[in-house]
Amino acid sequence: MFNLIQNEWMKLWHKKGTWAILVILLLVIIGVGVLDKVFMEEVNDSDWKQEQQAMITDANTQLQTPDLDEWSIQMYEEQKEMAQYRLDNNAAPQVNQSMEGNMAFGASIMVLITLLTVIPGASIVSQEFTDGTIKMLLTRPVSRFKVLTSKLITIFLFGFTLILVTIVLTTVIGFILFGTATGVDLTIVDGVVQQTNTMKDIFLTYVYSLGDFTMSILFAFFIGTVFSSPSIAIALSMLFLMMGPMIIMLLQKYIPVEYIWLTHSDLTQHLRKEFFIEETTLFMSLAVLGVYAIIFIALSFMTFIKRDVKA
Amino acid sequence: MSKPIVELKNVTKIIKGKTLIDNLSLELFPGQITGFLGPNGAGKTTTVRLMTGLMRLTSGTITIEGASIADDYEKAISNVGVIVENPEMYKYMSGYKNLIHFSRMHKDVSKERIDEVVKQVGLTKRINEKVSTYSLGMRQRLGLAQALLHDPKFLILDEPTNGLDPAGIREFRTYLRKIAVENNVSIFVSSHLLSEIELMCDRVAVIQNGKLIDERMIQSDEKARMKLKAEPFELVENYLSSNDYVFTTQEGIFLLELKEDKVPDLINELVAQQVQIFAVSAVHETLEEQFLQMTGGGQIV
Ligand SMILES: Nc1ncnc2c1ncn2[C@@H]1O[C@H](COP(=O)(O)OP(=O)(O)OP(=O)(O)O)[C@@H](O)[C@H]1O
Ligand SMILES: [Mg+2]
Repeated sequence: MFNLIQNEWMKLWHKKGTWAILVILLLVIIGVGVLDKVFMEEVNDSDWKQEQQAMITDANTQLQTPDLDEWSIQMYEEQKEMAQYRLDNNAAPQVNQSMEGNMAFGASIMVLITLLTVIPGASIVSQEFTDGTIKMLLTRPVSRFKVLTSKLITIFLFGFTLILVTIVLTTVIGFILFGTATGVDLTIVDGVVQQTNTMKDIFLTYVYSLGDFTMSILFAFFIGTVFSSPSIAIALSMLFLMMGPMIIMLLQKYIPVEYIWLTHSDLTQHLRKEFFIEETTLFMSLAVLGVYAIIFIALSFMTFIKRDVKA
Repeated sequence: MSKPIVELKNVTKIIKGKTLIDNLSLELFPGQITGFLGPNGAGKTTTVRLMTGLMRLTSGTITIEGASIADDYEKAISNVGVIVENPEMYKYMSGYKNLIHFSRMHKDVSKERIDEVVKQVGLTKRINEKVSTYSLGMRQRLGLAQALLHDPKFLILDEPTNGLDPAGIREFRTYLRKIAVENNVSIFVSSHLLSEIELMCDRVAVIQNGKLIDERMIQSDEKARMKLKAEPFELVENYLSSNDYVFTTQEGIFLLELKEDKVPDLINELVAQQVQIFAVSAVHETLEEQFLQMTGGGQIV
């Protein structure tokens, strides 16, 4: 199996398209970092304590206003609490771009990484058919099951490589251009002020983005394998990835969309607590995705193993 | 005769109601080169696809060294080298990388073995260039190299000389003969070039419309036919008849069955009778005539 993966990896990197994908990713990461640096106006916040004091005074004044609506009251209360927290804990706000901020940007381009992985994912099988090389590949003492498995593993390896490149590069570039964060961000959870754990948020964004990542790749691989046409597979998976929520909204009237994978594949819904349709549990989402993942994989393998090769 | 290495029994392939291969049975033997002859669309490539597991059998069995291609694929195919139609290689890689790629799918193919095969097919100078820059014949040579890589005991070659130059074809023929004799390799060559099959093979199987219609040994020189142009006509005719030669005449030319080593004797006899000999030449069209006759003159049905 290692040999087969080595083969697929070698073929992948001998195609110009693969290098183009890597270059695109590098350009986006470096480009955005540099643009951020160039257009950033460095804010000097050495007197942040006076500012926080002023915010408390301001909030108190506003709260005196008669007939203030509930929403505003809450807002000013929170403003007050946060400012107080900063003064009590000597926690300066983060006002400039930082290494952490750049890392968070990295996590936010998981959609791009997914799109870029879908392209070879759709063609890794189908191109063997269109090139006619499939007959050379399948007349070896290696079962079709192993051949297809090696291709699937290779594509995920490729995707994870892109993720790794993104993590490393956004960290290094962020550190060089901006340095580490000097302040902290705050959030209020259940009425209690807390320091945001930026690293944990970044980590969770990466992890939860693996939903779309995995499902899009499996879908592209499945379509590419069954229809042996890379273009159809790329087009369909990109369409679903970009327009997934819209398609779900449209279909909502006609079918029970909670059983469609597109409703669940963006797992960051659970991080944001904002749902396309209605709130579901993480367990429910994972269960639906699991079922579809199995279906995509099973159909890919069944067609690939059974089909007559006429190339 | 030794035990067959490959056995096809009642092989049938039906696609969408169309019978492409019809109850075909054939045995192939070690050390023997079998030609697979048939007009376009007869089912040669389809048979090769079935033998290599690219297509599934509708019914029947194919075994290679006792292992069934349907039930024990990895074992059955492990000693097979194959070219199906044009060998399509990965164009974006060098010839050498292609061979490395395929060698990793077999057991124990060393770097030395790769170099040896490359040298054998005469690609040493160009092997590190991308396949997309290769000519048709060079691709064919590379295709042959990948088929020979793992030293197979059974070689299946579908139209292998397509695109080779005359020198290449000649080398190829000599090489096939060599591995058949020295390594006891069984070789199955499909072609519609009769002359090629005649020169290259020990035995021929003829297929038409998916059916095996004939199977025979090729007797290269025992039953050779000679063309003789000599005068006076009657004198020669009388001489041949009275000496029990098998012959026919055509526009003043004699066609007679005669082994090569008997030619000088005949010439001496005729000269002694004051016959003037203008030409004696060997005829190689027996198989072709038979083939055209059997297959109805190349109609694609
Ligand atoms: N996938 C398929 N579906 C339907 N018919 C097919 C398919 N593949 C081949 N055929 C038909 O099967 C027959 C045999 O084709 P095959 O390619 O085996 O011929 P061949 O003997 O190799 O011919 P050639 O000398 O031209 O290479 C042809 O009539 C062809 O049209
Ligand atoms: Mg053919």
